[in-house]
Order: sequence, then C-alpha cells, then structure tokens
Amino acid sequence: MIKLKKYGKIIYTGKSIRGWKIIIMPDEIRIDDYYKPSHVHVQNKGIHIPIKYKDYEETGLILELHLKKNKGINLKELIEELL
Amino acid sequence: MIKIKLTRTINGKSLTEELQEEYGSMKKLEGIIEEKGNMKLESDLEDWEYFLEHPEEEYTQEVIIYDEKPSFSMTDLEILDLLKNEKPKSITELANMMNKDSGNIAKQVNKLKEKGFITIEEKKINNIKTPIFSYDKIEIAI
Repeated sequence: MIKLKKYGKIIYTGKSIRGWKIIIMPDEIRIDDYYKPSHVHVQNKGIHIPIKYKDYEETGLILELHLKKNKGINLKELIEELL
Repeated sequence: MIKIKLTRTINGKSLTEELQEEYGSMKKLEGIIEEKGNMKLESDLEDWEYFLEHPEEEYTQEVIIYDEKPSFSMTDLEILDLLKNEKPKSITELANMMNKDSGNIAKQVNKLKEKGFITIEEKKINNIKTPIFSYDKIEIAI
C-alpha cells in the first residue's frame, strides 16, 4: 500500500478491481467500497457507516480538507462531513 | 488548490512479493496481528490472501496531493527521475550522480518528502537515509 504522512497521520491507499480503500493511522479509520457502497469502519468495531461520496478522489479531497482544517482528525466531525 | 496524482500499478504477484519481504511470511503477519493487531496490518493480510489467488490482477496505488502552490524545478524532476531509474542508496550518492552539493540536494529531497512525493528509508546501521520514489506517473489536474 502507498503510505503518505500528513498532519501527523499516516494515510495508506490502494485501488484494484475489488474497489478502493483509505486507511488513516494511528486513528484506525478505514474508508472503502469493498463488498458494498463506500463506507467508514472505525477501530474495527464491526460498525460500517455508509457515506455519500462514492468516488475515491472525492473522498480523498474531503479527508484532505478535514485534515487541513483540523490539523488532524476529529472523528465525529469527519463522519458528519462524509455523510 | 491544484490536484497532483501519483500513480503506480503493480500486479498481484509483485505485491505479494513486497509483503513477503516486509513480513517474512503470512504466518508471521498473522502472529503480529494477534499481538498488536491494527487496521493496516489486517489490510495487508487481506491483500496478501487475495492477490495470492489473483497474481495477474493489477493493483493501482495512488496518492492524491492537494497543493496550494505547486512548483517543480528542473532539479526536482531530475531528482525524481534518478530516484526512480537509478535508485541511489543515499542522498550523497544522489548528489554525486547530479554533480551537485549534497547539502543542497538534501534540502530539495526534504522539500519533496514534505510534499509527499518521496519517502525516506532510514537504516539504523551507519544512519544512511535512502530517498525512494516508486511511482510510474505524476498527473497534475488544472
């Protein structure tokens, strides 16, 4: 996976026929569209929250703007922005 | 903001070889996950299992960077070209290839690292820093 450090976070991304995924560490947030329309997983608690952005690049832009605005991740706000 | 997309495409076989090099074996990775599992490790295991079954399938890795004031000098492009094609083992080796001062090249390398274009692998022995650029394509959208 490709690794990118931004605002103290490490963001991993990957894309294949199966779909795309973005993982934000150490926050343990994963956004992907594997097996079902795009959704967020938080800390592997088995909760999948559907999001409105279907596209990898659009989702990436929302994440980038969020990171920039908050200088990090505010999970509650990020989920609201993605919904 | 200008969108810059870095892309590399590898096949499933190459990806599983990279994972093998990183973790040793799938069993070892499973052990690490059991001990200190996290989403990234689980994702690597998921990819390993999938691409072992699909060695010919393409895997595209992309990084999208949004830059307010993107600027590339000829030196930057020369650095990226040399890192990709000549794979220097250190910043000093890179500077020698370019016939330039290693202090100046180190500054340029750091700038490219901060922007997210390259990564630096630090080896504990001798404190050698190896700059890495492994993408096939840079797209700038305007």
